[in-house]
Amino acid sequence: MNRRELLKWMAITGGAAAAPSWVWASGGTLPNGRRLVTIFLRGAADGLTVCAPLGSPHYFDARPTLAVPETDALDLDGYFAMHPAASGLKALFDSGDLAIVHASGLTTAQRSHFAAQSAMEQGIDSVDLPPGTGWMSRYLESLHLDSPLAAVSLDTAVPQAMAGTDSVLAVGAIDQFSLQLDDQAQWALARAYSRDPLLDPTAHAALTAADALEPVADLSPGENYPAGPLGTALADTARLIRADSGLVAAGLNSGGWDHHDDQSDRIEPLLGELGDALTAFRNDLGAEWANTTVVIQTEFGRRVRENAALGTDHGHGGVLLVAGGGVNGGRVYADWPGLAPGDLSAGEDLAVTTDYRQVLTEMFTLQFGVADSSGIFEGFSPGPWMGIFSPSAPSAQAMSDRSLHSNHAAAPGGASSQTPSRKKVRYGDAIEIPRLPRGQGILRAG
Amino acid sequence: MANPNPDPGTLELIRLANRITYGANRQTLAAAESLGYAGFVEWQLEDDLDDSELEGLLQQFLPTLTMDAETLADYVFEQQNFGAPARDLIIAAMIRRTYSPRQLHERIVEFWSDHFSIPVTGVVEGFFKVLEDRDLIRARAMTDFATLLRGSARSPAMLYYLDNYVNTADGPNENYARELLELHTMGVDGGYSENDVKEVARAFTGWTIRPPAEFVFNPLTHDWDPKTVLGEDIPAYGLGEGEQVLAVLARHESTARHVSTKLARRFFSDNPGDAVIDAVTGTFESTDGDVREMLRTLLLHPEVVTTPAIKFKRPMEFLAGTARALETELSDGSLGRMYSALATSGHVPFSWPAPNGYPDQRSYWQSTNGLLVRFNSADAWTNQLSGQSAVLEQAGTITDPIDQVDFLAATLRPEGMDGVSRRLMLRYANRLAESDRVSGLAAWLLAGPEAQWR
Repeated sequence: MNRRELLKWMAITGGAAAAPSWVWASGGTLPNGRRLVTIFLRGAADGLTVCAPLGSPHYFDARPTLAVPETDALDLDGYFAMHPAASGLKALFDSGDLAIVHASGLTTAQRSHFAAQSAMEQGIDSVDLPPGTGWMSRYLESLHLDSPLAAVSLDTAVPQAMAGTDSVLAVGAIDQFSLQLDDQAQWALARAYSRDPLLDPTAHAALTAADALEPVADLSPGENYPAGPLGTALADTARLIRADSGLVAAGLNSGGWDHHDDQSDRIEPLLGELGDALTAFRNDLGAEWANTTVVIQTEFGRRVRENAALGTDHGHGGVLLVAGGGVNGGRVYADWPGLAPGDLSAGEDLAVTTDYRQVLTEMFTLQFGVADSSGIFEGFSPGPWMGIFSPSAPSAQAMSDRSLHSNHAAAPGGASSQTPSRKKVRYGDAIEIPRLPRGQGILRAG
Repeated sequence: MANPNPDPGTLELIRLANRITYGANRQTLAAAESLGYAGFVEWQLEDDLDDSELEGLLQQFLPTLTMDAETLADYVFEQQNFGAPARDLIIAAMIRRTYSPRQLHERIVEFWSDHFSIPVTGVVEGFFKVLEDRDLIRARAMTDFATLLRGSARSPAMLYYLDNYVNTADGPNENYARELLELHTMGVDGGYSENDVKEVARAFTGWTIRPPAEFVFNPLTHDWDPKTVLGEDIPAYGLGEGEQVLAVLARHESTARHVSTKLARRFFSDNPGDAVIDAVTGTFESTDGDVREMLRTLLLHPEVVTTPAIKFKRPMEFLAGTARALETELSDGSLGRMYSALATSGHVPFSWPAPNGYPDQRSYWQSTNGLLVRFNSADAWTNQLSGQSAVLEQAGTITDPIDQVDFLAATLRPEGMDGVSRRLMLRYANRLAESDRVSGLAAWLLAGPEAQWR
């Protein structure tokens, strides 16, 4: 029995009165009819490899070894082309499911990974005072959600973009999120935590979510996801959506994009993984893809000129990718600043001509029914829309009558990433533990 | 009623033990009570605490820990034991943190391992890191900041991880220079410029690795033009330029404050007050970053002594603390449990994927996933692993239920509990079948909110 059948059954039998509140967080009442999935590429992905400006002669001057070769490149629009490893992304671009925003990012250059990620996740420019909460949280708070599975981090912790709401759920991997405690133990623990106001919301969410996730865990993962954390996280996101769990926002991470050396070898598998994972995700979602927006960010772009180690140092302007239904894909959106020496930021980096918040504001307004996004991006004044998103019908309806959709639920999230590529040892869950002597009383913790 | 709550002086000792060890237990507290607050600190600061039994065991099972660079290179790359260094490092860290008598030493080792963070997720990183962990971080953890910083700059593990080994005059690589300024010394708001990053990178050109794992300065790839770093002119004189940069950074006031703040954050509070930070920073400046002196200043500071436990334990601290509180015997079973809980929590030693080290803030670690792992771990350590716990064994021999409750409360929650908690514990005890009572109550104590703070 799926969620809808369950609801129908309860309506007939009168069982609804006894149902826990999260049961009502079904896809049918998704606020504004849309959900948001974010993927943060940690380490600063090289925008000039993801979406290479082959039309610029300066590109080949600056990247004598790292330039995406014209012969192998996947042409996008005659000027920009994708790296050949990104064939999955290219197919999404061609089918109109994926758009690229180039020369975007933080308006004020910030070349520290950690400071740039922090600013971007808080939804500010790098010189602004940090509000302490994340931009996704501020959107979620405006919805007054109350389902335990409305806002989920598919990682071990909650990303900063989702920080600041009480109940963003960090589930790690869904198949590992199960509670071993019996009812008695849960009762006694819940009572104990009710006396600790700082930890109680999280403990309560952990105990509740383990139950709520059971029907999600019962679904088998979709097909053709690449092995690895990103594939698993997107497959789990799709399970949450397919289970009608009331998911409104999901935060995901992809790590290992900091390529100061051997960039070619290191970025190829990551681009392949990203494209394959997104493709599998779209196919897995079926009709729900139309109600889903995927935002793929990175903290900054990399230096235009390659370094001697066949890598790139920290730069400024980068790429932002958006995918999903209602995205006017198949286009590279850019107020392209050029790569001529005089056009560069600080004389060496791609300039930022599109504030990343411009894209997110257009998305919130046209797709999520947020008429005034100043509560999410305070102090930011958007320019004219770039045409990246089509207005979605449910969002228009939501703008006219949000109260219809306000009775919903959310959860909190955390950040982390997986890094290096090169030769990698996979331990999985089973590190090989050596046999140790027993029964000699050799060591007691003391 | 039994289980009297301890007096304020004893509470201070318990908090101290929880701050400078991986968790108080009966042995730790007995030592603390006999030595007193300052005496316990001094004892843990001593250089000659004997951990030879533990180290002997590690050497027996974790072969890469003691290999010299040549032997290790052969073992890892020729004999293709690619994962061995990482495996040995991770297992050794779990064992040392839980079982070493040099608890404060292990804590400060973890601190520097985070400060100069290098993940061992790559084979080459693992190879270099196992050497660095032994010869620099563990060997010099209690010395002074400049020593550690110089060692890190010359460490093949760091030279490789942050790409300085390929930083040359023809192709400067800024990776190390930036993190040196931002993470290792001055802090992101410490007052350096983008140009300083570039100049520091130039100063370190030619600092590279001679195989298998040796620092070497290559004058042929060094940039022989003068540099200016933080307003200080550095003439071109080769190796000494980088040394000069390190010396300037090691005594910079931003570095003193940055490192002191991190130290206070690790041992005391997410948001240590100015009084504490100022005191530790003052000691950093007056002792050239002497680690023992900074720890003394911090741990003996009146605000630290008297402030209740306000630091949310990181997963490693929670898990080691659980094993220690239960006095669980070291076994492959308990190690496997600890590893899988760390993996699910995202806190496997030496595995944070970025150069800034594992976070040290409750806002990161307090998550549903994090608490779920703790609940499940408390359950596992008191059920499947109960036969290995001296505390649970002893509790099982107590026949009177009230005595059993009192024994478990006094042993696993030595800081005491108020009447409401005690009544709840008794109610829960009444609901439990007799055969489940010891494990159920122990799990409740260990998974409860009080056990998440230190």
